[in-house]
Amino acid sequence: MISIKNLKANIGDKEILRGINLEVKAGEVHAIMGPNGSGKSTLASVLAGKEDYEVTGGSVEFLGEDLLDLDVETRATKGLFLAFQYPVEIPGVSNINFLKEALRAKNEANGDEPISAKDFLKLVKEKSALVELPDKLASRSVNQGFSGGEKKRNEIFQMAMLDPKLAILDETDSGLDIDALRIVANGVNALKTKENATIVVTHYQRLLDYIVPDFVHVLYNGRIVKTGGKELALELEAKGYDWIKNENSELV
Amino acid sequence: MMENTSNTETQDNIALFDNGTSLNHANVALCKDNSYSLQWPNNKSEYWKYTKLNAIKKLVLKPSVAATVQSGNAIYFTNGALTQTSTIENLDVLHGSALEQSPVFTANFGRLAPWKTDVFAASNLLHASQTLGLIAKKGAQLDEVKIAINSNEDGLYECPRLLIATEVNSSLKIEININGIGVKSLRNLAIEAFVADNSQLEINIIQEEGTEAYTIVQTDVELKNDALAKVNFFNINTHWTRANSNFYIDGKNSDAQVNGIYLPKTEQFIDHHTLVHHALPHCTSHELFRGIIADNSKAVFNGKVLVSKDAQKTDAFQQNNNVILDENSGINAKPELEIYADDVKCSHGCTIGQLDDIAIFYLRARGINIKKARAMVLNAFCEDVLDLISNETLRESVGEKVAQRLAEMH
Repeated sequence: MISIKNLKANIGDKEILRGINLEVKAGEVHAIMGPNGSGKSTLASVLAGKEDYEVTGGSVEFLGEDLLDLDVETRATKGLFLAFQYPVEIPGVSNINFLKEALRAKNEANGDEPISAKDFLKLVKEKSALVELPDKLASRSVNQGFSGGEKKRNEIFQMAMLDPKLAILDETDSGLDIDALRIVANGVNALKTKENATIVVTHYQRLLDYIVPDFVHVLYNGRIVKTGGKELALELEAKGYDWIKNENSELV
Repeated sequence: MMENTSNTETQDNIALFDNGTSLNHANVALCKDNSYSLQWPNNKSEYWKYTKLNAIKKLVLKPSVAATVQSGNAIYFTNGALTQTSTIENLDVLHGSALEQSPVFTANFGRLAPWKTDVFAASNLLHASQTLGLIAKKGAQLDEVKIAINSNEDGLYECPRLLIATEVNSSLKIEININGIGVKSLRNLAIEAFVADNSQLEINIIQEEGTEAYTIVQTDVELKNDALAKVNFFNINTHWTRANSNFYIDGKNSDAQVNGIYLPKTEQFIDHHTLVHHALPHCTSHELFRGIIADNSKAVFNGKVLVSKDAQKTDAFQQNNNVILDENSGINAKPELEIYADDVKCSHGCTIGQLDDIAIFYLRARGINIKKARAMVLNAFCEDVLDLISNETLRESVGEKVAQRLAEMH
């Protein structure tokens, strides 16, 4: 699905990613954990194509193509989805119109037939129910006046509508109460198939009780310093990030 | 040497503005004691501070010629002259002696226009060859009165003039289309409107002029009790426009609204000066102006709200938001509140910013291409003003024009 080799990225003069290696196959769920400032969100943003970051080395192959060569929208239409840590409010653009355009762009790029208005509404109804998103939010401006939980559910709703091959969830759990967390996680689990993959970026182990990862990677100072199964998350929870920091003090 | 300098300064077309051969003498007579002003505003005038008149002064122009007015199914001004009127139920469409004999004309003509102090207002009054009068009859509901102001001849000084009145309990909605793509001329449009008790007036002004035209729009509106007056501007394409919109609220429980979208690009200039004068209590006013400014263009917004001592319980709201698309474009925006009453609510907000990069990234991250993403955000920015057009068909057609213009803006 995606193959990241020795990926390095800067913001300004500051090196944030210092050689990331990660291989994700179809059907897998990977969790990327790490303390604040370790580069988790940077990795998610670089993969989505955010232009604030400069890739200084390494390569990323996504479905056999050089991902770093593609612009933001092409990455998306090819099946990469980033659930934002801070979903953006766009006054005046209705959520439903936004999704219509996004779906149209995807179908167009992939040479698929455009979806009929009737099927689109059916899909909206079905997918918003998945994350228990009230109907009224569909007609509102994108994320405007949404609560924190509604914004995150809206991200997963968009993911459900666009049916990506690789979803990257950037701190989707942060700031959610336990009920919202469960709804979000159920949504993600329901969308999981053998053909798609998920990268869950999180600071806390809590989300991984609900979205069970096949692999857990610990990111520290711009590198993946530890990889294990789901039990690694529990170990991290018990020992805290200081454990990682102490083990890797030579990296600082 | 001194003489030379002063000669250079006077070599402008002020002579045209005061040219005896093209004056409308009936109108001149109304300007009692010749007390009109035909002085160019001086450089220190705050009202004209950001508006350069040099180009206008140097235009070589001839006065537009009065035409025979035909009767047809629409109302037209062509090259500055009233050329066609139309018969509309419950609406008096008048010109010439029929208008001049109407009580509305006798009582109101020239009463609001600032011809004593403003060169363009005075000049329009002196030159307007035919004033068009529109009087909505008592209880009338008129949803779609269209006026086209067309130009196809270069080098004219055009002075179309409208006198609009609504009688008690009536509602009048007017659409004014100013067209003249590529025509180099000076258009000095004056509108005086009188909104009677419990009546409503809406004027939508849609401007598509292109690269050469200079345009002045002077709008003066008086509101009586329980009245609503709304003027919406859609400056879609205009080389140079100065719009002065003045509202005099002379009744209780009335609402004045003035709104606009301006989209200057390629070194265009647009200037909105608004004045809402609250003279009596329990009235409201709303202003919403949004601008997207590109390619070396300049805009001016000056919104003045004047609340007199007696105008208690006034609720006045003004908002002006601007998106600047490149570093060579800009806006001079100034809210001006002058309040003499002590129990009022007046607020204003002004923002000047760039296109929201994070919003664009968010849309692109969902697969929407950058051009479309920018258009979506810019269209959304204009949406709130478009929503103020009450006629749905018009709202859609203006919306399409705005969208088309925005698609050309990057």
